[in-house]
Amino acid sequence: MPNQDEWFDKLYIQNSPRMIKLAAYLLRNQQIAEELVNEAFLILLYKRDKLIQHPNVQGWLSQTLKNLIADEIKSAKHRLELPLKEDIIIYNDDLFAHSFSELLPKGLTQKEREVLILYYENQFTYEQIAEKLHISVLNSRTRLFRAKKHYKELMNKANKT
Amino acid sequence: MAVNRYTSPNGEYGEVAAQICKHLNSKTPDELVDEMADKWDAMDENDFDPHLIDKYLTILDEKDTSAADYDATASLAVFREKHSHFFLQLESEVHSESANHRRPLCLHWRAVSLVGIAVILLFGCMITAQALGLNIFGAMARWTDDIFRFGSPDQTANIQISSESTGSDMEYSSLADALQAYGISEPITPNWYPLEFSLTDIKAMPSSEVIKFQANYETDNRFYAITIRQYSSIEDTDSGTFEKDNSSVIVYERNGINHYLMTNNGQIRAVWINQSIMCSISGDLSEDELKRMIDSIYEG
Repeated sequence: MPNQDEWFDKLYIQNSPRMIKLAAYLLRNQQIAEELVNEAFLILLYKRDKLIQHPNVQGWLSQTLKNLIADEIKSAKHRLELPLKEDIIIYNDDLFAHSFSELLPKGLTQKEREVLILYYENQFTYEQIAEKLHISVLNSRTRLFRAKKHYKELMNKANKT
Repeated sequence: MAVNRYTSPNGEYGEVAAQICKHLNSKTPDELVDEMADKWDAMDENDFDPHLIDKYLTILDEKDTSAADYDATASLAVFREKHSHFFLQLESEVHSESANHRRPLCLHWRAVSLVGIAVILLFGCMITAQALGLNIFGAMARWTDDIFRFGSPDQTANIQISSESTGSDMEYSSLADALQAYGISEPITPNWYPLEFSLTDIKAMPSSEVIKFQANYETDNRFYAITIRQYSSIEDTDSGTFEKDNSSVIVYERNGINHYLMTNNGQIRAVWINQSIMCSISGDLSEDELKRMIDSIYEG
């Protein structure tokens, strides 16, 4: 049986660069990407006794990271459906007078607007978005995640001016 | 194609490799990310192809020169430092195992004392971590400059939280009535509220995995809401994520429970978990008002 320290260190050095880059490009957030990758390796440590005999630990790490990304994005969904505010109902502005797309800031790309409209206005699930846009479910999640992040950046910039 | 740490060590040559390279180079970074996500999603544990992913990452790095550089060795050192108590426990387990193999009688006590020390250190670190906002024994709270979340290390399975309603939304005259209707007896509702606010509505929204209660209060142009989510199990509470600004998170401990206070867009929020219930109070309140509401939950 290989020395567990060496086994772990080797896996970390070989796989963490790829995993972090992959997560960072999908989520456009280096910090969250590093956290999720560290979580994946922490889970690896917890389960080291079983995984040291696993035939494809690299594949296991990949799948674990994928699940963690999906959980991360899905957990963001548990905030209220409004993109920015949680637990607050806005009374002092008649939002129904405008279509949702008119409320979106101008700096968003067409793909970002498209996925935000499908999710928030059409109330599509990730699976429905994937089917509509002919992309994978993971892609629909990460695309929405990035769109929301960009939306927030644009709104923060607009609020400061 | 440039040679860097993402280039497959086995290399690929010939017309196929050239065609793949040409195809990838013709894409914009967004298109590459989309395509890479699709390809990755189609792979499972058994057919994961790191070389294919590396190809995409190589081209993306070439097109996106702002991508941060990463030092795996330095990152590993930080990881080991951060989880040193856990590595210590692993070492002591290995030591006690090998000691028992060699001289079972004489080293038995030494192994026991090593494990004992490791356990004390481990719990010491856990208690310290508890004080810093990590509820190791339950959900782990983590935060960055713009996100606060609860989450446990063991999350290899997607938690399928269904939003499918299992009943109609109900309205109640008080939060206590709403909670009582669903058999919730844990102390989670404040007994003190800022006097100038009036209750506007309280709803219970049941679904298959979670029951959500929301009570809204308002006065003039100020609002706040109390939101309570009862999950089917403690593990399901690991899905809470909240936006925040880059101010520090205040850990306010009452009755053995950490209440995390944070701000976002000029409003304050407190979130905490009690058993399988996630609670939050958020809105146009001062920190003192919020703390007083939290105190009143446990004062009866």
